[in-house]
Amino acid sequence: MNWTEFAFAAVTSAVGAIGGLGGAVLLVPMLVLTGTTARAAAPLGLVSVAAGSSAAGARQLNDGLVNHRIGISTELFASAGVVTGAIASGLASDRVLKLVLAGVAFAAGVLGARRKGIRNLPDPSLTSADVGEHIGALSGAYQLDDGVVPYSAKRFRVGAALFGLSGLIAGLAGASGGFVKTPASSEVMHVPVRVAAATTTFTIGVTSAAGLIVFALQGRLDLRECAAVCAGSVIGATVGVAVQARLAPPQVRRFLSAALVVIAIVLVVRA
Amino acid sequence: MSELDTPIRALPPLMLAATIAAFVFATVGAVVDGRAGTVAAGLAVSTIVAIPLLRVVIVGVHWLRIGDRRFAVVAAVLLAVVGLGAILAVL
Repeated sequence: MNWTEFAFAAVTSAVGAIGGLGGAVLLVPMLVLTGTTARAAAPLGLVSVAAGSSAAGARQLNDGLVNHRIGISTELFASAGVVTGAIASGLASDRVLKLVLAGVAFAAGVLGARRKGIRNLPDPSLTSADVGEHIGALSGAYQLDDGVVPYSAKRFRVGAALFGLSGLIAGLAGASGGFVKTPASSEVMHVPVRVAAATTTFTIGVTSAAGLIVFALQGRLDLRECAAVCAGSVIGATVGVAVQARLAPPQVRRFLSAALVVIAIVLVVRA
Repeated sequence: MSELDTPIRALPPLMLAATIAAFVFATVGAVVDGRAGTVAAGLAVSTIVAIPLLRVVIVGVHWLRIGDRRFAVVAAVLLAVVGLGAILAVL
C-alpha cells in the first residue's frame, strides 16, 4: 500500500467534500509538490474525483438534490472538453502541465472564495410532493428546511461553454473542474447552489470516467497507485459529505481558497 | 408547471453497492501483492469508471420509458462522446 497517496487522497477528498471544491484540485498539486510528475498525478486526480463522486452519490440521490437532466445536458460539453484535454495532455511537457495546474489551483482559490449563498427562495404554494425534476425541461424543485424551492436553468449556452472549459481543465490537469461547474450552474444558470453542487458531484464522475478511459488507453494508469487513491478517496469523501452538514462551508472554503493560492504560487516557482 | 419525474428508486442502493465494491477491490489492490492485487486494482478502477456511465445509461433508459425522448437522446449522445474519446485515444 502506498500510504502517502492513500492519506493524501483521504484528507483531500474529505476537505474537498466539506468545502464543495472537490478534492483533486488539492490532491494533484500536493502529489506534484511531493515529487510525482504532473503527467502521473493527473490520472490519480481523476481516480480521486470518480471515487469521491460515487461515494457521495447515493446520499445526494436520497436527498433529491440531483437534477439529472441539467447534469447530463451540460456534461455533454464537459466530456467533449475532458477528452480533448486528456489527449492534449499526453502531448504537453511536464512544465506546461505544472503551469496549467498552477493556473487551475489559483482559479479554484479565487472562485471558491467568491461563491455566493442562496438566490432562489421557497414557494409557499409548493409541498414536499413537488420536490424533484421536471419531465422534458431543465427545471425542478428541492426541499430547503421547511420550504420547497422551485428553479429553472437559464443561459444554457453560456453555462455549456463553461462546462466545456471545465472538462478541458480536468483532462489537462487531473482536477475535477467542479470549481468551475458549480459556480457556472449557480451563478450563470441560476440553479440553486445545493442542487448545483449535488449535480456537479454527479457530473464530475462522468467527466473523470471519460478522462480515465483515455488515460488507460494511453497506458498512463499505475493500477496500484490508483487503488490506493481510490480507497482513500472513498473513505475521505464519505466522511466529508457526512461532516459537511455540521460545519459552515463558507469558512472551510475560505481556508481552502487560501491554501490553493499558496499551492499555485509554489507550483509556478517550481515550474 | 411541467410534470414531475418519478425518482429511480433502485439507483441509490445500486450506487452504494457499487461504491462499496470499488472500495473493497481498491483496498485489496493496494494491500495484496502479486497478480491478485493487480487484478483487484484493475477491477477497482473499472468499477469507478463504470459507476457514472452506468448511471447515465439507467437514467437514459428511464427517460425513454416515460416518453422523454429528447433527454434520452442527450444521454445517448453523451455516452457516444465518451466512446468517441476512447477511439481517438487509441488512434
